Amino acid sequence: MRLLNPAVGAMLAVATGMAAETLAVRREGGNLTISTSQLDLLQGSILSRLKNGLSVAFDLHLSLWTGSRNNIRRRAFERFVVSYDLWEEKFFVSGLRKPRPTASGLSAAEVPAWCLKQISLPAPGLEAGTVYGVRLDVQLAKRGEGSEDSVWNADSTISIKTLIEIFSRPSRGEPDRWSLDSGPIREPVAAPPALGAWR
Amino acid sequence: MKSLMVAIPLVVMGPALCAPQTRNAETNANVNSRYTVESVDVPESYASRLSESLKNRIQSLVGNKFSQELVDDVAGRLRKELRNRVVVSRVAKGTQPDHVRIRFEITERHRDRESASPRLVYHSRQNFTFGADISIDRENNELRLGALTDNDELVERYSGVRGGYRRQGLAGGRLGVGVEAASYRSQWNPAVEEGLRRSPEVPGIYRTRVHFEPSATITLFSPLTLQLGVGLERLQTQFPAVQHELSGAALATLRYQRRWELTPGERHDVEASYSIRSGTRALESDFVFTRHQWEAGYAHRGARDAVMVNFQAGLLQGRAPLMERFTLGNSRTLRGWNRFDVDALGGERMAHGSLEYRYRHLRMVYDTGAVWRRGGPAVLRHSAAIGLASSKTGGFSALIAFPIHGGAITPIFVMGINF
Repeated sequence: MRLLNPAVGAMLAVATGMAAETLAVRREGGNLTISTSQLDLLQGSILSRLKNGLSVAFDLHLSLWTGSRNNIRRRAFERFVVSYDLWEEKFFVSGLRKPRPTASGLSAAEVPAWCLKQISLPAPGLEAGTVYGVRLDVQLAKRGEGSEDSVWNADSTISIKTLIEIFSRPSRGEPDRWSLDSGPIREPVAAPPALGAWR
Repeated sequence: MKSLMVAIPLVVMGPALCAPQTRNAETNANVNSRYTVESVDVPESYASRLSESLKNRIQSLVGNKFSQELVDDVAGRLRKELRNRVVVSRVAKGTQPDHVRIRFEITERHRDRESASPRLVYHSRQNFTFGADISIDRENNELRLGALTDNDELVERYSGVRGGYRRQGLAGGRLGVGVEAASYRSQWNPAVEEGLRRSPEVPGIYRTRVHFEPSATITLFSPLTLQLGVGLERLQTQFPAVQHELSGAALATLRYQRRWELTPGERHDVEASYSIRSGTRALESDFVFTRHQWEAGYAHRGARDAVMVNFQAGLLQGRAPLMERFTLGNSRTLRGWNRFDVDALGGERMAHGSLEYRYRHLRMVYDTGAVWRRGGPAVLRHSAAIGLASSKTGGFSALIAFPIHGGAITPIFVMGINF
C-alpha cells in the first residue's frame, strides 16, 4: 500500500466504503480546522462544465467522531458554488451562508483549499486520551435534469439502453463524491507543569 | 453547424421575460451573472420546431445579464420539446467586453438507439392480444422486427412475425423510404364464419397472408407528410378450395402532426390523417376496391390531467379482403361492446368518436360510433369506461366498460399496456 499513490489509495478507500486517511486536523482557537492536498474536485466533466460558464455546487459535510467512526459527536455542513469567470479565466467560489463568503481569482487547485478553510467544527471538550477523528464528505450537488432517465419514453417505448443503464448503476465514470478521514487522533494528556514553575 | 442567431431587440420582450430572475441564490452565485448576454445560438434545424413561447423565452435572454437559472430552464424546455435529444448549454466570451454568448448544442439522444414497443391487451370477450417490436435506430436507418398475436383490430386473429427497414433523411431530410414485410396466420371466430354464410358477397376467409409494402414518405412542409407506396398481400384461402389470391393496392397517406408547449408541463397535440388504399388490376390484384380512412385527434396534457378527443371514419368500396373491413368494439373503439356482436364481418362504412379524460391515475372514456354495410342501416352505439392508468400518455391501464342504451349489460374488462 505504501507504494501506491495516495490519490489511488483514496480512490480505493472510497470504492470500499472507507474514507481515505488523508485529512489533517488542527486546533485554531476553539475550532477544529482541516486541510488536505488530496481533494481534487475540479476535473473531468465538472471542469468542463465550469469552463463552459456554468456553475457547479458542492456539499461539504464535516463530522467529528469519538471512540468509533459510528459515534458522531458534531457535524457541520456547507454548500459552495464554484464558477469560472469567462473573461478573467479564474475561478470564483461563493458560500450560501449569510454573510456570504466569496473568493475570486482562484486557480483550480486553490478552490478546494479555500472551501475547507470556510468550514470548521467547534473543538470538543474531550477527556485526555480520548480517541477522536474528523471525516469530510464532499458531494456534487445534482441539478435538475428533467425526466430523461424515465424507462418509459413519451412515445410509450422502452429504451433498452435506459434499462441497461438503470440496472447497471452506478455507471458514472467520474467521481461525484469524495470522502476523507483524519484517522484516529488521541486527545493529548495534559503535560505536568515544568519544574521551574515550582517556587 | 448552421445556427440561428437570435438577436431580438429588447422592445419585443415582455417585462416578465426581460427581468433577470433572482429566485435562486445558487444560480446567482455564478460569477458570469455580471456579464450581458450578447447572443443565443440554437441550431437552425431545431429552432424551427420550437414553440413560440420557447422562442420568446430564448430571445428574452439576449441583452440581459446572464442567468444560469434561465439558461437551465431553457435547456430543460428544449429537452421536453425536442424529445430524444441531448441538449447541452455552453457559455463563452462574447465579441464585446463583458458580454457572453450562449450556445445550445442539440444532438440526437441515441444515435444508435434500440427500443422495444410492447403491446399487451386482455379483453374479457376477445381474449389476449400480445405483440412486441424491437427497433434498432442507427443514424437515419431504422430496422424493426417484431412478433405478435392480435385479436383486437381486425375481424380475424392474426399471429406471426413482421419487420421493416426505413431510411430517413434523404433529399435534404425531406424524404424517407422504407419497406415492411410480415407473415401471419389467421384464425377466425365462429361468428365470422356464420356471418360469411349469410353474406356470400363478402370475400371468404384465408388461412395465411404474407404482406409486403414498400413506401416513400415525403415531407411536403413540416409537419405535413405524404406517404406513397404499394401494399401487396398474398392470401391463402381455404374455401371453396385452397388457393392463393393477391391483394395489390396503391396507397397514399397524408398526415399532419403538430405539438405545442405553450407553458412548461402543458402540451397540446393535434394529429390528422387521410389514407387511401386502392386495389387495382394494374397490380394484378384479385380484389378491386378503394378504402378511405380519415382520422383526427387532439390531446391536451397538463401537469395532472389530460383530455383526448379522437375521431375516425372509413369508407370501403368494391370487393376487398376481410382485413380491409372496418371493425368497432375492441380495446380502442366502442369499448363496452364486443366487435363480434356489433358486426362479426365488420363493415364498409364506419364512423367513431372517442372522448377521454385522465386525472392522475383515473381514466374515463366515452365512445360512440357505428359500423355498417353499404346500403344498410347505421346503428349508433355508445359506451362508457372507467379505470386506472399508470400515466397520462400510455403505460399500463385497466378499464371496465359498459354499453349505453342497449347491448348486453355484461361489463367488459380491458387491461393491458399501450391501448
